[in-house]
Amino acid sequence: MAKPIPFMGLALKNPVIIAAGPWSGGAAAIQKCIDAGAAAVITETIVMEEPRLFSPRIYYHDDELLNLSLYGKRTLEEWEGEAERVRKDGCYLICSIRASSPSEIAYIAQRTERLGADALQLDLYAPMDSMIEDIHLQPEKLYEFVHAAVSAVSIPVMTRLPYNLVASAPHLRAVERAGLRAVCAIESLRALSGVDLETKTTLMPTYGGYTGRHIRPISLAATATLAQLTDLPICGVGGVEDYRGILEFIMLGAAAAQLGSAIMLHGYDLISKTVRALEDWMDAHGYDDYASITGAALSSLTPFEKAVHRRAVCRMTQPCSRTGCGLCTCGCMYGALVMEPDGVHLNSSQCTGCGLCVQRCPQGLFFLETF
Amino acid sequence: MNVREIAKLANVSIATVSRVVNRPEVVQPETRAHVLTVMRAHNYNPASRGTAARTGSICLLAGHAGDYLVQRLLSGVENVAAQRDCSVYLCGTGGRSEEDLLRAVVGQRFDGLIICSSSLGAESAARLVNAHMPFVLAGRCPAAAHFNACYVNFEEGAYRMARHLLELGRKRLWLLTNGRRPNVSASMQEGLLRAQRMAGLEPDGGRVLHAPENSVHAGYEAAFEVLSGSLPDAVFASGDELAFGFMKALLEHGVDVPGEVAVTGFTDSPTAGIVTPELTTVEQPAHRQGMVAARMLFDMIDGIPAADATPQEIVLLPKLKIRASCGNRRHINTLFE
Repeated sequence: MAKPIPFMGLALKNPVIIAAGPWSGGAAAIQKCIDAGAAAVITETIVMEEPRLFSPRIYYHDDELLNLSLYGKRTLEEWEGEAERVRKDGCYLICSIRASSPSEIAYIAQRTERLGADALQLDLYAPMDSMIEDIHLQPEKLYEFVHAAVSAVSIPVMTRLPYNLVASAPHLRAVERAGLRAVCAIESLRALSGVDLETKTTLMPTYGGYTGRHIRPISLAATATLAQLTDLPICGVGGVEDYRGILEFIMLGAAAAQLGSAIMLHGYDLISKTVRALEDWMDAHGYDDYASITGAALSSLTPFEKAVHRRAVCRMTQPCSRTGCGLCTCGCMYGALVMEPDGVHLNSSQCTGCGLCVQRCPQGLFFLETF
Repeated sequence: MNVREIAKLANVSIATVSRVVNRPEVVQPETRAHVLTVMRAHNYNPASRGTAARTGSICLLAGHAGDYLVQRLLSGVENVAAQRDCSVYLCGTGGRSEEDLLRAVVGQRFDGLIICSSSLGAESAARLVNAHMPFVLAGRCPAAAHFNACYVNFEEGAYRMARHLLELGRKRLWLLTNGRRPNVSASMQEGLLRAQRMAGLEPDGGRVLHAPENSVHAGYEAAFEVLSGSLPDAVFASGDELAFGFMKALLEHGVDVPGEVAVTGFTDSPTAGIVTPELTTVEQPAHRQGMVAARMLFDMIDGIPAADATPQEIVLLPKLKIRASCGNRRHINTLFE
């Protein structure tokens, strides 16, 4: 067993935090997450208004999920009863909250602290809503929200940022000043699933929040960016499907990462599988402390200016006569790879070393030779 | 011993201790028994605060019972009250003195009071404190700064509407205000001035048309006063009813709305979306305001100590509802209904 992970005053038994969503929308759902071994569970977002469900609100295509709802189906009062029935067993309960003004967020923060939250996550940037537009453009407005919540409670508060704000130093300075204890990234992306060409209508009635494995590269970059721009602990969120995703976030500087919409696609077992696989990976690699690998991959990340100095050219390990394949030749934009009747011809003098054929060849016949 | 300490000793949340004291029937039996044991062991007896004497009813004191926003407010209060089997009584002032009604209401043995007022003074509110009547102010009245209050930020709502109209190229803005709600009118003027300043325009605050009340008829009449002169690019009314009446008069006189004059409201009433052209307006979150006010009141009734002693002031943000009467042509603007 690896050592507990210190995260904004909490001691997480592992780096798996369950994200806010319908998989954590009540006592029974949260209990499933806890029993499966999660270190912390974030409730589905709790708000002041009367929850209204509408249908349909989840759009699925090819492992992509788009979600239209801003918050869960329970009132603040119902959550008091729900929280009471949760047996935490060493897991932390984090309440996700959202409001339209600083004084409103302060009130919900107090109420959720009172119902037993160990920490809070402010979810102010849901991509379906334009309610609190100012916090996108004015760091000071974000400061007011965060400061109001932080001042209202004695438990740690973190906030979730959308991908475009993780690189905004003024926003990060604002939340640091406001007393935020950790930052999560990223918020789901504003998205539309498509247009029905025959009826000329959108497949969804309004914008949704896009999650799932396709957004992982974006959230990984967000964590790396945050690791560079702030000393606040980071909680990676977006596109985690298994233990590897969690480890990637940690190696890019996150203390922990959230598992969310994948639970909807693969069931609660995914949590226990991920927790076990993380333990196995740590054991197999001889680590007993996540601190040993936190941020380990950051040093291999170089700025664009440095990365562009490398030059290479493509070589083949052996000739290829598979004229029916053509993955390399159709993708070569420089005329270096051409399909002839006897197979693939490589003209290295034309190659600019982009690297696509190396990764695309099903037989692994290409490699890059650095010069 | 207070509720926080008992919660810590019993290893439950503060909310749970409060529920055991105030509504034991909703708590899991084992949890309830455990908390009660801890309470007894530490001589914590909140019943002395009068839980037994409660009537299970609260009162909403509001100006005009026929007002759509009062009804939405009431519905929000009921929504929270119903979850604890509490009845809500509506007391409409109907133009009578708030002072007299407050005295009468205090004699009615309600558990608490929500006062929807824009004029209540701090001294009148202080008398309620002396009468041990828990109360929350739903409205930005003079007393609001000194007691627990919950109100809508009209200035921000007006600013957003004015900014929206200016962005659509409507430079000459007039306000059509309701004489019965002078504080809303003042906030609208401030919002308009801010929008003009931010847009780099001369902040003149626009011309203000005064209507005696928020009704279709008053809006209709107000339009007649100006139809003969030169008209502005937009008229921003302090209520949807006023806007409907104003719009009707303009249309009857062949003025194109929104082609020549844009007309917008400040309510988001159910009819805003079905008139032609559909009314662009600022939504007043009256239902949510009712829920918030009720929650603050029940916190007081349950004797839950606030984190600090200063009165709580919760400000709600209204939302712009862009439809067609403002001259908006971009479909995407209407997406956030």
